[in-house]
Order: sequence, then C-alpha cells, then structure tokens
Amino acid sequence: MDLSKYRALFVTESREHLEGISRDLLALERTPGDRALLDNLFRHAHSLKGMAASMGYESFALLSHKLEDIADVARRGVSFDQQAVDLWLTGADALTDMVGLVESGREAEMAVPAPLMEQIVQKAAAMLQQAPPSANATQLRLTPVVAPPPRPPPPSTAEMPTPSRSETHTPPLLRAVPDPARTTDPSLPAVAPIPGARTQVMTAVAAPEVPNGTLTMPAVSAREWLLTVVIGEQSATPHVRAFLVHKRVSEKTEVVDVTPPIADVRRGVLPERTLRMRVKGALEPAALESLVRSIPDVATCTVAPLAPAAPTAPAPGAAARPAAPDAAAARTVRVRTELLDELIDSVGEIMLARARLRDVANRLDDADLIDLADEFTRLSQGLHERVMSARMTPVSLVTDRLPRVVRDLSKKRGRDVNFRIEGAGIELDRAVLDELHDPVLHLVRNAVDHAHEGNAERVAAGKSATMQLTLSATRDRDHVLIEVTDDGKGMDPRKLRQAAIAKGVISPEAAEAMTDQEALELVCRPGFSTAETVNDTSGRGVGMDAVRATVEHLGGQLLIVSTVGKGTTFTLRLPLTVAIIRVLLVSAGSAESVYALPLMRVDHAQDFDPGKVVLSQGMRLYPVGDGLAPLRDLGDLLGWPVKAQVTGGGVVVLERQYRPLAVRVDRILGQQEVVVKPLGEPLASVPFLSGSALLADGRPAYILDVAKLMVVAEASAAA
Amino acid sequence: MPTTVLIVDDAVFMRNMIKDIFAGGDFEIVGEASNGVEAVEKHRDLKPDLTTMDIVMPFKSGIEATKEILLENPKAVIVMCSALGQESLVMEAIEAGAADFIVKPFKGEDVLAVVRKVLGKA
Repeated sequence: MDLSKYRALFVTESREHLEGISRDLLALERTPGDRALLDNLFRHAHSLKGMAASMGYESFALLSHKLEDIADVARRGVSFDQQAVDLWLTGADALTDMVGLVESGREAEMAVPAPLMEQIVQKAAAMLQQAPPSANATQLRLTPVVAPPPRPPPPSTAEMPTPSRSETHTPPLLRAVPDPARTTDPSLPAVAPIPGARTQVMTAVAAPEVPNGTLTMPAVSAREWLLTVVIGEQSATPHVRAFLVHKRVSEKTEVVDVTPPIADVRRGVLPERTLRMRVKGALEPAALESLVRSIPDVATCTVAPLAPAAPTAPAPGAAARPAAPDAAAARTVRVRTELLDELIDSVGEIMLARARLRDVANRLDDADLIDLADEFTRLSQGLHERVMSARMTPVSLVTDRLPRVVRDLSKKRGRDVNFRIEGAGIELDRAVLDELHDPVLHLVRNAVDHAHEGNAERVAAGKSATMQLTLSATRDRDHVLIEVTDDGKGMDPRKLRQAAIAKGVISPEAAEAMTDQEALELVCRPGFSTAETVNDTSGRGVGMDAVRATVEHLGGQLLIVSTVGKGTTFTLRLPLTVAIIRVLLVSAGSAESVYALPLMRVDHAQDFDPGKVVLSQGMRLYPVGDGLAPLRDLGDLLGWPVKAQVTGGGVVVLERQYRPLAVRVDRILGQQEVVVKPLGEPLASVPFLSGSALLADGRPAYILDVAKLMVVAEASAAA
Repeated sequence: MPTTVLIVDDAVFMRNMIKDIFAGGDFEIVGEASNGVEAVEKHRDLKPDLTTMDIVMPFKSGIEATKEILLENPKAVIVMCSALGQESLVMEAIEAGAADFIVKPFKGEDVLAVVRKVLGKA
C-alpha cells in the first residue's frame, strides 16, 4: 500500500488530537480525576497510536502507546497526578515535534528521547502498581499453610498448597519441558537423565489418532473427535483467533474439553499456537474441518476420531497436575541441548542464505526468482519459528521452586509473606531462562530479607503484617517482562546516597547531582552494597550488580520503581530469545571492518555534524535531545588507530541507564537481523566483542558488547 | 450486487484507509460513522452487509455499539478493527457475536482476506 498519500491526513488529524490533548490536560488540572477527560486523553493517544502504527512510525506509535497506558490506568481509578500531567505534556510536545518531521518529509529522523520514554514507562508502571489487582492472579498463600484440598479448584481462584505450578497446561506438539536433570521439583516428570549430557525433553504427538494424553478426558463415548487447530504465524493475536475458533465450533457442536482451558486462552496462553478440542455432536469431520478452515488465520486443522475407551485417560482431578511420568515419557523424545543449539545455528545459516538469495533475485530482477525467494523466505521463517518454539520453555522452570524458598525464608525470619506467581505459563527461550535462576532468586530473597519491615513494624505503619510479594511474567511483543513487586518499606534515595558516599562509591558532589532514579540504581553498583551495610539503610544490594549484569548480558534491561513506605518493583525486561538480534551496522577504524550494535542498545543514529561538537573541560560533547552527551570515536574506544576524519560519518547514540553516549563512526550502514555466533578462540579474548555474525553479503561483522563499551567510556571520561 | 459496507471509526485517516482497501473490490461503501451512537443509527438505516467497527470511540465504544446492533439485528456481520493490547475487548465483542476481527496496523490484503472469509466468498 502506498502510504505517502496518507501523510497529509496523518499530519492534520494528529494535530487535532494533539490540540485536544493540551485542552483536556489543562481542563484536567482544574478538575482532577474527571473521568470524561481521562477517557478523551486515552482516546486521543489511542487514535494517534493507531494512525502512526499504520504509517509505520514506530517511535511515534510507541510513545503514544505508553501515554495511553498512563491514561488507561488513571481511568481505573489511579490518581492522574501533577507528574502524570507533566509527562503527558512533554510527551505531547515530543509527538508534535515528530508530526513536524513528518510534515517536512523527515520522518526517518523521528526518535523519542530515551529519558522521557523511560520516565513515562516508569510512571505507567508505578501507577499500575496502585491499580486494583487483577482478578486473574493465582493466589499462593504462605501463612498459614493450607492443607492440600482433595481436588485443586480452577487456578483462577485457587489457594494452592506449596509448592505448586501456578499455571498448568498441556505440553503441545514439540514444546520443550524443563530438563529434569536440572531441577529438583518433584512435580515435574521424572525421566532418568542421560549421564553427562544436558538434555531437553520434547513432547511430540506420535500419531493423529492418539489423543494427547494430558487432555483430561473421562470415558470417551462414540462419535467424539479430537480437533486440533494451529493458528497461522501471520496472526498477531493467535489467542484471540483461537478464542474465535472455539466460539464458532461451540456454536455448532458440543465442545467437551479444550486445551489450553479457554480461561487461559483469554489470558493469552496458547503454546505452539495450537488449540485442541474434544468435540462431539452432529457435525461430521469434514463439516467440522470446513467450518474451522473458513475462519481466517487458521493454518492447519485436523480432525481425528477418538477411541471409545481412552487408554491413557487420567483419573479425575489430574487436570491441574502435569502428565504422569510414564505418560510423558511415552510421548517425548530426548534431544541433546547442543542439538537444539546446532539446529538454531543451521536455521540461522538458512536465514542468511535467504537474505543473499533475495539480494541476488533483486539484482537480476527476475520475477520467477523473486517469487521463489519470497517462497523460500516464507518457508525459512516458518522453520525458524518452529525451531525457536522448540526451545521455548515456560517461566515456571525458574519460578516453581520460589514458593518454597519464600516460605522457608519467611518462616526463618518470622515475617509473613503472601507470595503470588502470575503468568508462569509465559514462554521464553531456554537459553534466556537458564540465566535467570539466580537473578530471580536474588530478587525474591532480597524482598523477604530487606523489603519486609517486620510484622510488628508493618502493623505499626498501618499496613497488614503480611507483605504482598508478586512475581509476574507478561509478554510484551518480542519481550517478556518479569516483575517482582513488594509492598514493603521501599527504598529511600536519600539514604542510598548517604550509604554510597559512606562506602566511597561516589563523591558527595556526584551524589548531590544525582536524580532520585539514579540514586535508586546505586544498588546495582558493584561494591556498593553488602547485606550488613545496606540493611540499616533500607537498601538491598545483595547481588543486585550481578542481577543487572546478567539481565544486560542477555540484552535486557533492569528497571527499578520504588516509593518509600509503599514498596518496590524490579522489572526485568528480557528478549524472547537471544540467538537472533537486530543490529545497527557501522564501520569504523578501518573501512573494511563492520561492527554491529544491538539495536536495543541504540537510542538513535544521525549524521555527524562537526559544527555541533561542544568542548567542555577537555571533553568533547555532542547534543543529544535537550542535553549534551560525551562524544567518543568508536575506533578510539576499541583501541584501533584513529583516522583523522573531520567531516562526514555518523553519530550513534547509545543509551544505558539514562546516561547517553554519542559514538562517532565512519559510516552508518543500516539495520539488519543477524544470527549471533560465538567468537572463535583468538577473538574471544578481544575486549568489547560479544559475538560475530555473517552479513547477507558474506562479510563478517563483529557484535559489540555495548554495556562494556559504555563502562569503559565512562571510566576513561572520568579519568 | 456489490457488498454494502458501513465503516465506523473516529479517525478520518483510518476511514479513508479502509475505504481505499475496499475500493476496486466488489464493495460499495454506503456509509461512515465516527462514533458508536452514529454507528447504531446508521446501521439501522442502511442495513449494510458488512460493518467495520473501531473499538475506542467517543460517546459510545465500538463494543457497546456492536452489542446494540447485534441485539437489534443478530445477523449483522461486524468485523472489529482492534489494536494490539485490546485482545480482551475483542474477545468480549466476539462473545457478543462479532463475526471477526482485524488487528491494526493492517494490510489491505489481510483485511480483504478476513472479509471474504467472513462473507463466505473466499
């Protein structure tokens, strides 16, 4: 679709919304909490988001989306305070600027200032914390310990004994389940590990006529069918699709059972994009199949008759338990973890070959070849997704043991804690999850150890003696957010500053200059915090530097929101997978060397203008957003000889924990998706390199470890 | 006979885009509405074969409008135009009887594919 003809309309209609926003914000200052005004704000942001997304203006859409979030939470009764008004005003200004860029045909330059974005995200998160809790949360009450009920009630309302999986669903086709050799959770299938080999158990349905053993089916009567529907990859919201399929099928015939349960589907759980329904009734398989196939986005649909007596039918009540060990073993194949890694490597090579094929096809301008390249692209994307999903593992792999940890620790400390886990069924790449064991454990332990005021103090402060502690996993496009939230004492930026000065981590002047947000992040500084020193100052530094390092190593972010007396939320924002990343390619030092900067660490890139360089106290600074950021040459940072190139080139603004760094490069080559490969021996010892990748044209690119780079840049600037 | 279509969206931008998508096919845009109240009234007057329904609109949301229209006319074919993040609203609409949904930002061919399937013209 040619979008350019919509540009003018986008500009005028966006302006109308932005004017409406300033009008409504001012009115809202006069009548705080006015529901109609909040509705208006939400609608303005929502419309802006929709238009921008349609035009492909990602930063614009993202910013309006986040503003929409704030308005949405406010509509649910959370106070839309002065800070929210200010952020909305600043956000609207940024959007207005971007509309101006669109108008002058410079939409490529659109970028949201990272600090603003961060503030808005944090504000939305903080407000969400005050919102009424979601009714879907699975309760896991720790004090007092409840005796196991004879049959677990549905997870939405269950008070389950510990330890327990907070969400269970059927292992679908080829979904990875946690490696039993790496966990001691008795509720997981016990399969003898192959000595010396790290393995991942994959479940597979052997033949279509065999019903999935974990579907909870009592005796099966005649004329029942197992209907398996896979939603196509083109669907952005597969679970809504599955919900629609279920609705259409249940209008025509009786659905006896469905996996995952429809309540889970509503919440977004649809492993492998697959819905399985046991149906009975009037419709013949052919009619059933054509009904389902008439629904958009259905990729495959199979109908298999169910035998009158299901040999593997589990006893009633087994619904909330994982498959029995023998049943699971019968339907799984063991795959070495290395094999999965090799598989993804091979797929990565195919993806690269695909990119080369497209290049060639475009160059030759041969219609047949371009068609073939498109077909190949589609097939390889499908293969990629399948291999990736075979590596996907539910978050429960790292959270299953936590209730026990919290229970033991809270007993030992004599502090009451109500620990809830939400979204344990959300899936992440196994490689990412493997790294999360320790960080998540740290966060949860720290909450009990340091956030909890003690029962008596809590009561004295007018709170319930029982601290609410929640770990929730949610999917956010191609990221997963893991949030650990407590309603404990919160962290006091003032005390953190004092502690950091006392420890010699920062100078009093530096502490003075810090924002409260920066002060909170002091807990992540190596050497800042040990349990003894920080306990008294309501900090909680135990291993926080390690937590942040791990999250950043995975290409994620750690965000902290804390209010004194109210509690703290740590958010780990993690990529779904680490094997394939989007990078910005640049060249520096020697023109032949191509470096790749992971896009999630890049704020924006622009042409270098030597006239904008500011010299201050011997440091070169470059304007970034409203402020100035230190300017460094990439070649210089890497220790390569610097070419005396005065003009031309580009500036890439890297961002880490609110401190931008402008890095000058010789050339900005563009964005690409690359498969990360580990470095070979000689290169593995080179600092700043985190991996390598083959580009579409066959050249190698070195992937830079941005976090390390920035630490060095900061250190050398300070020196 | 062309399929008659009512387009409901508060943004002129989106309405134009949807109109362009339908142009050229065997469709006739018989009306447009920019909020839920108008949508219910125009649907009553025009009795379109198909309605595309935005969700977030002033005065009356697309969900409420859908429910009202379906109450009056259970055979109405309504396709919800949703954005990512509105999944639960879309499911509410489906439960109320909406025929299908499309997710913004959408491509013309995807919209037409959904519409044709819904109308049984695939």
